[in-house]
Amino acid sequence: MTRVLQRCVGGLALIGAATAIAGCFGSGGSSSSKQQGGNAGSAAVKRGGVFRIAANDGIDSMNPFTAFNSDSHNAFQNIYSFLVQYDTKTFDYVGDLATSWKAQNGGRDWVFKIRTGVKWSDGRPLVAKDVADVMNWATSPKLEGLGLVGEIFGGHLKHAAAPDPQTVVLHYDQPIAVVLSKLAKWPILAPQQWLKFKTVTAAGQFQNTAPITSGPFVVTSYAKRQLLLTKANPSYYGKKPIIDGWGLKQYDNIDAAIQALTSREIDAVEAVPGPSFPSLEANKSLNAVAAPSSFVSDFIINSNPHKTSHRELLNPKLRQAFADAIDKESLVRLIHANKGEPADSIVPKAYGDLPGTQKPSHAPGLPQDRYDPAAANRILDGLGYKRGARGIRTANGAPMNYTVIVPTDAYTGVTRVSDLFKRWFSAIGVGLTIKTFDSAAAYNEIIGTQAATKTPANSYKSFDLSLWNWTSRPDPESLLLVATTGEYGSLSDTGYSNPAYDRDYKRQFTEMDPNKRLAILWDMQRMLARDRPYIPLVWADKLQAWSTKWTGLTETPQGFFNESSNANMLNVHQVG
Amino acid sequence: MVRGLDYALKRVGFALITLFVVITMNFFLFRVLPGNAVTNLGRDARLSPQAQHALRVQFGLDKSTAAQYVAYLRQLAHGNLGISYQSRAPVLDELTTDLKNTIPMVGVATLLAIVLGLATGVIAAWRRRTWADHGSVATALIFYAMPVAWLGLMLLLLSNGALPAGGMYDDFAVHTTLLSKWADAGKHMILPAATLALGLYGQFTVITRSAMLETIGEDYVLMARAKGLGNARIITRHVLPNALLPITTLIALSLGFVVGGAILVETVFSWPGIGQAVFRALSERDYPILQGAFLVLAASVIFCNLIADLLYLKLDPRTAA
Repeated sequence: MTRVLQRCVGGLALIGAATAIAGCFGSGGSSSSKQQGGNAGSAAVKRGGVFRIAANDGIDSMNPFTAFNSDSHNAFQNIYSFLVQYDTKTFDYVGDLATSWKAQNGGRDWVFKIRTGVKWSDGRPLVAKDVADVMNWATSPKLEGLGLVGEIFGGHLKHAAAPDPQTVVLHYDQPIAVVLSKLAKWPILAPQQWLKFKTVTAAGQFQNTAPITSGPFVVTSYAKRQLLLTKANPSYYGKKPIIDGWGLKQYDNIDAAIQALTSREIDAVEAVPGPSFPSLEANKSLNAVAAPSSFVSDFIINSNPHKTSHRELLNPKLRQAFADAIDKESLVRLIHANKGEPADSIVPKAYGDLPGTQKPSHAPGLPQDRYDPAAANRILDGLGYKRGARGIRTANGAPMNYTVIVPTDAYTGVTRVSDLFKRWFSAIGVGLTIKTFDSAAAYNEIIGTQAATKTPANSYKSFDLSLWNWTSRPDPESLLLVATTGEYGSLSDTGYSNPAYDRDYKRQFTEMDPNKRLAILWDMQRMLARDRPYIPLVWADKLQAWSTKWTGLTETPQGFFNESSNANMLNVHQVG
Repeated sequence: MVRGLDYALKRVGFALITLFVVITMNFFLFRVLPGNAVTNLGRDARLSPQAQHALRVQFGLDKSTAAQYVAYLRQLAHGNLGISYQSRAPVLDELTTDLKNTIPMVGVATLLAIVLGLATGVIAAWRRRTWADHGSVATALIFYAMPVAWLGLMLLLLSNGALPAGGMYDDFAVHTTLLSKWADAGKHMILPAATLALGLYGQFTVITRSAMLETIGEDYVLMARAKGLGNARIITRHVLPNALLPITTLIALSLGFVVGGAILVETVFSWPGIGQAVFRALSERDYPILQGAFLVLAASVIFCNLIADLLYLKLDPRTAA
């Protein structure tokens, strides 16, 4: 399992989505308010056809409250409407169902104006009350614990109101700076389909195989672990799709998917493994695209201050020595087929500027690690960790032999990576034992307890090191969250617990001035760079391929089929 | 007759005890694995601690293991296999769909393997110590020793796009007749069924050859030859029927495994069957699916073995003695 939360738009500027600027009425926290229409803009546009995609992780559920896989949410992006979505080039917010928005009352109230004449796929009119009713239903106490709701509303939504058919007002219990970021992931669900469920269990068990939607495509058939097939929604309010529909076909084996692509059984592959990429690049009938992504691999060092064994791992100087011992350039070359770059933060550069700031989300001036085993040895010598039997150093009376937890299903080239790390660490007198698990078991090893409430005192106490990765959504908040103490037992994989960092996380959450908020986000990244719960390794490129018979796709850090925007499925078309 | 009935009742009794042991082991086996459904789901940013707690309560994971076991037995007694942790759909419905997909493919593959194995085994035994014997046994053993996933990938590459790479149908094609849909399904079945059949047939070859050789040495076969009977008649009338006992056991076991699917083959060829479901359920710690799938598998193996035991009575009445 790649840890999913979700880089600048790649060099492949194909036919971009034209971004029409619509007016923002009033001023708000994140005041940018645009309409993303999209325009194929190609001289040779052939209409029709079904764009056939080989799924990446596949659709695990059609129920937005229980779906986990990225493909499920990518599909939702293209069948449901959302109040706002992202521009695929700038990653600024653009209107979808909402035409404009503003924050009021210091960011406690958010007012959205929505389009007129919108219809659900069952023909009923979609009005503001529908949007508000579902939000109130989902956040009601009787449905506490329903998936997705916590992530989007975080328990802060007091009430959603619809004073008129085209206005939705969200009342929060505190200023919320990330409302747009959160709502860009909240599908507009049909009350006639959802409000009938009175319990979390009932809502969770609803399979939703024939969803009532209002986005650009409607579902025509869904077969679990096989296929999702859609057709263009004739009553869609926005730019009409050029294709008849798209389909997502499940392949459990990537070699089979690539074979299907080269034999034209399908038109595109969402995720191409590095070793297969050169052959696809050489294939004249395919566009093989490598573009900066939000994927970052990382080396985790247990940072729980209550760690019981190998407490030397908490020493920042030792962490610097470890960073000096790792050759990130070799990882890019050997593991990622030269498609990526050494990382200095878990926050990717790929998403560009934080909306409203014209400054990058990724903090500038972070310290750059350089592969320098001699410097690493000097640091360890300086710390008094003398070499003993078989060249392994001793710290606090114990040999510096550490176990590295690696989730095999989430880490590419695990055997080769393991060998590289063993060699690099052996050169500085540190022994590594690689212990592989699947993701669920690896995470359990890291947490180290089954206690219902996880705290620094009762969890994350025994593990040493791990290799894993993150992908993230555009706002860095979603990724920086994972290092807060509040995520113990949930998203934390480092045991990092720093009150100053936790305070900053809360501050940025309510800071309505984007520039001030960005300063906090940069501070948080600098704290992580200083304390090193993670040694960021590689920002790997997203490798994808599609038939040259198709064009109109803009590469994004999440790929051409993504959960940020429906622009690609609106613009993709056959070459005329 | 009474002795035969006594034998049959004993076999049924053993089968029921075995089934209960399997049900119990099924329950505890997966819970020994590190990781659990909730910590797995807890990696999802969408799940707050409250949501994790709600999931524990919803799936009874907040109770002691013993209480969960009792609840599991009670559910089973009512024919309820529970709710999938991942899809939240009834396990019985999920597995029924998977079984409908698995049985045709694995069934065809097993039948192919049995036919191929019996034929090559008979030839190898009859042409003992000739190139036909060495060739067929060596080929069977080579295929048997090959990792089935690797074999599948090699067949996939060798087909070079001539056969579909995955799935049960061309999901994007419009089938106007049932015949065209079946033809499409047949085309999609070729690679996975061939992979599985090649991987399986070696065991039938070896067992058939060995059983045949034992029988060929019997006096009554010598007598049949002395009487001037033709080879085909000797094999079909005198050798093969008497060599069937071990072969019957193997066939019964193999048919039992048909419902278990073929995890690796189904995964390589994206065949949406029970093997693929088990593979996913393992990584997702979806205990109800795993328990359900293994129960179905165990029950079918036990049932087929029971049938084989009862067939013994017919094939060799001395068994009841």
